Amino acid sequence: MRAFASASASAFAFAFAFAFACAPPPVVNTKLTFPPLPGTDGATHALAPTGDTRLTVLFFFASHCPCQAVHDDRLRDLYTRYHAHGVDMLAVDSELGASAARDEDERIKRAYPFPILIDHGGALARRVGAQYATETIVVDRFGEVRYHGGIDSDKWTLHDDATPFLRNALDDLLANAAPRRTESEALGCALQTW
Amino acid sequence: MASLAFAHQARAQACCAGAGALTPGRLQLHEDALVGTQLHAATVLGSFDDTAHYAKVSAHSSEVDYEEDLFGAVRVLRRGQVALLVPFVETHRNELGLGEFGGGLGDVNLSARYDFIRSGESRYVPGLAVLTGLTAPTGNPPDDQNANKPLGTNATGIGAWQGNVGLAVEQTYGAWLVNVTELVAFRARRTADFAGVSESETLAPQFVTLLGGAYTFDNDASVALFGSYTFEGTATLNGAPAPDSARRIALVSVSGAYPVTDHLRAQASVFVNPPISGLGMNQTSTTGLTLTILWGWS
Repeated sequence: MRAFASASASAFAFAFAFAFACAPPPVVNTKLTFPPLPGTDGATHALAPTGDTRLTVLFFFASHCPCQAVHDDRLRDLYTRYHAHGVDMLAVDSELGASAARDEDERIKRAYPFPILIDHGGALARRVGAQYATETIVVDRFGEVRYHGGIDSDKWTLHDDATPFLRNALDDLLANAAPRRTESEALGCALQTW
Repeated sequence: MASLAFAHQARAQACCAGAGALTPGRLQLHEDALVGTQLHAATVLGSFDDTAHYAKVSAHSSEVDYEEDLFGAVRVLRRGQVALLVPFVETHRNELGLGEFGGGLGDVNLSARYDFIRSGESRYVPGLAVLTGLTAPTGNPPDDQNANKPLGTNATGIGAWQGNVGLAVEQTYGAWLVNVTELVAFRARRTADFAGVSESETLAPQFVTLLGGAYTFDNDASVALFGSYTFEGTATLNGAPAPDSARRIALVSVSGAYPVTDHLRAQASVFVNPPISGLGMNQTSTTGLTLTILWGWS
């Protein structure tokens, strides 16, 4: 029993130290400095808004994830609803082996009206601490991250009464107000970035 | 299963449901807490003696074991969870025309798990978790004398504190998940009552090796095949080795899990201790089923 107590204590002391050492730093209200990423449309896209765009929505995409797939309609609706108000939307594929050709097939299949950016090596995901598909960040025209979290409170079953975290954040930011909620949990599949 | 390791395109699990089919009380990805109940019924097919020879149960005796577990788990760290399991154990035994039913609270277990690397997080490095647990002797030990229970059906625990540590290695290959877990349980010394004589007994450390594979469908339902081998060495009685007390047993189980809603999951499994000489020692061979219902919160 003494060996057990010693082994358990050591393992969990290490686990706690690991947990705190590996916890991603919060990104909300920090400036997102990151080089532009190539997209499936052949262009290179800056991550912060440019020109007349007021906000950029970046969401982490995983082609295999059913939680992602069930949100495709909502993502298209969000684009339709907010693009005219100066909100750009970009998907980001940070998974190992992400390829522009394969993602362009996915974009066409899902009828995304926006490109999928290729984040080779998952550097952007690491930079913002994104771990799950459907995880979203909203960047304002000053390059500052204003929201980080899920599209809504649904996982893979959609509910009419789901809390629309992203929509609420966009409504607030477009009204020049602080988002009522700046962080939430994205309930998608784990991103495989390494 | 080997071919799975070479699946060309790595794909994450639907939302890691496969792990739940292997270990029902474990929080899935994004779950913060769960509560559940597991109903377990098994009939004894026979037993293995101390030479690992298997013999069918005699025509004049029978035994059916039941267990109802209440369990809950809570996420305490982003990658860490603790769980509590409260079992209720009952036995119905018939021997030479005498039928007896008994049972009660079993040994309550508190456990913790920390995932240093989650399965599927890396394509090349498997998930790695450390496990630990403590089991309290809240059940009746086998030597507990009860004049009303001559067939010993009131035994619901081992009578000693147990601490266990373990390591789980797990990886996803497309919709498949493979898990290997090694656990070792240390048992504290206890005073046992053998025919009115108090003796100091220490059960040997118990090693459990688990190997399982699960397949997750697009709707997050999953099926799993799981095997385990439990081995413990010779116990000591009053400081001296107790001859022929080593035990071992193999178990094979097939299970399925279905997510009724995002919160509610139903699981079922059938299991058997293969009644084959050499696969057990000083243990009974049983076959049965378990039904599990659990509710999780994200």
